[in-house]
Amino acid sequence: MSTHDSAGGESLTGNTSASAPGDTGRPANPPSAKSPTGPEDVGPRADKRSERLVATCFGVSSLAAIAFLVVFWALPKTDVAYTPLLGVCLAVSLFGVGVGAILWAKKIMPDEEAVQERHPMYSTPEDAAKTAAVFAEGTEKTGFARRRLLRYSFLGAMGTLALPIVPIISDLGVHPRGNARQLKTSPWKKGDRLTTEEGAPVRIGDLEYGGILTVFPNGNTSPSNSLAPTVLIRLRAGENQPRPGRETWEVDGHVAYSAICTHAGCPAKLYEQQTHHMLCPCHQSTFLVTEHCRPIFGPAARPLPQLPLALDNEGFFVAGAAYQEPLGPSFWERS
Amino acid sequence: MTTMTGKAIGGGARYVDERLTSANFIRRSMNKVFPDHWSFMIGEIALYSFIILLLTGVYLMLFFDATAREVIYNGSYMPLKGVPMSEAYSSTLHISFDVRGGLIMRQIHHWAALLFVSSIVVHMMRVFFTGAFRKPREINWLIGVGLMVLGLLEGFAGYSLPDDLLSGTGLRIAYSVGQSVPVVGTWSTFLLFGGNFPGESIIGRLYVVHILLVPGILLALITAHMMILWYQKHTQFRGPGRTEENVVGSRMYPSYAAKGGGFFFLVFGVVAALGGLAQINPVWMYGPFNPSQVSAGAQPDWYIGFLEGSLRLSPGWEIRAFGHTIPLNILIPGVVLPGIMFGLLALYPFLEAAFTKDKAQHHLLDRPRDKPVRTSLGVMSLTFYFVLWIMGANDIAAHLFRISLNLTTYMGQVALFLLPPLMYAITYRICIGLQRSDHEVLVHGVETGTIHRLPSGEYIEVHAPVQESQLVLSPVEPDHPERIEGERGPRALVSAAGRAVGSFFVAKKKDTSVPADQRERDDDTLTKR
Repeated sequence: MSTHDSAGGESLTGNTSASAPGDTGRPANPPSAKSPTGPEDVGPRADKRSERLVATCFGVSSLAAIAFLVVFWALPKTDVAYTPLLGVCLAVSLFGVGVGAILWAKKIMPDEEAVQERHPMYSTPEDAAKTAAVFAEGTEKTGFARRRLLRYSFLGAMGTLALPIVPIISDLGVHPRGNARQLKTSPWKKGDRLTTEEGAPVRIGDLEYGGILTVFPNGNTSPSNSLAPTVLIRLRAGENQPRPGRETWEVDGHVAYSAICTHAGCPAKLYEQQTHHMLCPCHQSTFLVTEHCRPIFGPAARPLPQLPLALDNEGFFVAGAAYQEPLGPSFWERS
Repeated sequence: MTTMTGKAIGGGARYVDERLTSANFIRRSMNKVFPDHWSFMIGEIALYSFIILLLTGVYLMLFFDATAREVIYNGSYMPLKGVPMSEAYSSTLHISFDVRGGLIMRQIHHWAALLFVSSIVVHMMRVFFTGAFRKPREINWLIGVGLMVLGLLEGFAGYSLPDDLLSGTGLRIAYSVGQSVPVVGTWSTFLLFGGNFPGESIIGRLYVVHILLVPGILLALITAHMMILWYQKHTQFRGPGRTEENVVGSRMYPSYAAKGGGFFFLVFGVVAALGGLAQINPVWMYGPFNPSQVSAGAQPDWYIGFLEGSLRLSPGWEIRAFGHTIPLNILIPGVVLPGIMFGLLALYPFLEAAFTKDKAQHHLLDRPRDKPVRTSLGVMSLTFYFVLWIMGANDIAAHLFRISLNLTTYMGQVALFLLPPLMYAITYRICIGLQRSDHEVLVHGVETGTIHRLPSGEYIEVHAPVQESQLVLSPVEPDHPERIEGERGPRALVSAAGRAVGSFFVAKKKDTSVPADQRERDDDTLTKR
């Protein structure tokens, strides 16, 4: 056992050849102590070869890093190859360092198998008892258990300190009492014109049979009005089977339903005119347009709310009334 | 040369030591032994991708503007010129098209995020199936579960930031999921979003969550995870000379440091190649978010897919009573189910310990076949998860295989309840079969391929006895069949294949080494093998 070296230098010689382990602080094993993965791995020539191989990896890495700079500045950033070339250069330069380091460890550093004892994963009973005693003594000195007034006033103070959090958090959003009201308020009022995304009002004849159009109230296409999008669909005469009491909600075969899915709120407006199915692409809830958009497949539990239609005196479609029920996904205060 | 480096290091070390008294600590750290096994590197991939995420994330932060304020796009991407959009979306386009190297940074960041979550999940599978979560490592298992859940949250917050059509749809669904919670749902989503969806606040708030809050917690938890790992020492597979009381492997310095450091660059290299060559999340193709639009065939990042699938499989159930609505079609698949899944995952070590009444400490890993119940439970749970995950893309599957979309949903609903128990039974049988084949080798020896003909005309194959080096102390309970009585008590196979477990890719090392301080330390002793 050669233990002549100090702790500072004991294992700092990983880059020297395994054939000279004298200064490693390890036992003076014979040169063949390096892992016998094959006879060609041993000997000064093989050692030189390994060293050259590792150095080549690092060299390739440097070259690729320089190539990265060249691509970065020389190529126009609009070039199709710009990003791919940057990626390749960066990858090669990173791979060069990675492969080089691992080969260094595998081919040049002495292979070793070390054994280390585990320390027990528990304290001795004496230690645990001593710690418990110290804690008990400290607690006794505070008088926390005996002095009831101190205890309760302290716990009370900690409790009341939590109170300021409530208004701070509640001011993150709008006043809670307004919540449900905001969700229950129809974004469409009686007499609102149905307008296209471009803001144009819609009249009979704009839609063919089987046609579908996304409409907004009075040109309000703002994303903040997220529950407003509505679809206007033209059915053939007699195809619509309205709910009792909603016979007057259609105008000349035109019906209007909320586009916002009653399941998770995606726009459900993939309309298939042969089957009159309307599909939500998010979770595939399917609604049957001819039967007041009742759900016939998928996770949605409720029909899409219907918007009563009417014509104004210029012949444009308007909302005959506001939506009669809250739009979009369900929530606790809904009904 | 050596003395010169020795001197230089000695001087630096003395400077530090006279201020931090660090020599002993550093020496012990350098001599710390890490067992070698390929499966122990999966967790390293997670750590390294987190570092890549920090590096690229800081860069993206310098250019990204997380505000919902509407602007008219005027950058160099022609198809969207003049289109009104949020500042967040516009600055994402700016990074992608007008910042030199911005696109590759974005793509490396996104790929690294996918790799981060993936490697955490695979790492957890490794820990689960080998029993590495058992006492004394339950705390680290809990931290790991926390890291995974936070990783999902961080990823979701991150890809929601560009405010494109795809991510906006994801946020819309997240809003509905939050809203579905009884009593507090509407409240909390209004507070989080600052009002009804989409509101003006969410992008900015998600940004803070994504770049400060969650990464801060992740960093703290990763640090704790590593410190506990360091302190408890690594688990190891059974093998000759490996016991519950030791660790066999290579030392931290230089071997493990060189390999681990090199591995970091390899991981970074792979992600860099992906970031350069494989397009990911091309937000300019989706367009800015608009609540009246959605694209068909849109899938979230893979780790959110199981939630998408569970939402799709849900039947249309809703409770309306006493003036309130409980949308079970969102609440169960979007809140209750993931809650149960992550809850069971977190509790598993405690449940297993309670059911098996196992209070012992374990540092040697199990082979999955030796614990058929645990292995089968794991495969069963993974099957459940994968059915949900596949169903998150059932529209793609229906399109690909030209079958009805509705049929895929019905198939998924049946598979969700049928496949997991089936996979439990199959896995259990496979484990028992593997145990029996081990037993076969122990009793009859290894097949040699040499055929002998007996005088009677019968042909027999010669079996060689199992070598002593292939046997370890039995890992199995006394009533377990797969063991033989050796001179030193019950023995079992390391591996029926005749290869030592623990060196999957490389031949078993036979070298020995004894560090200088082997007799100095009583608690961290390194010994010669």
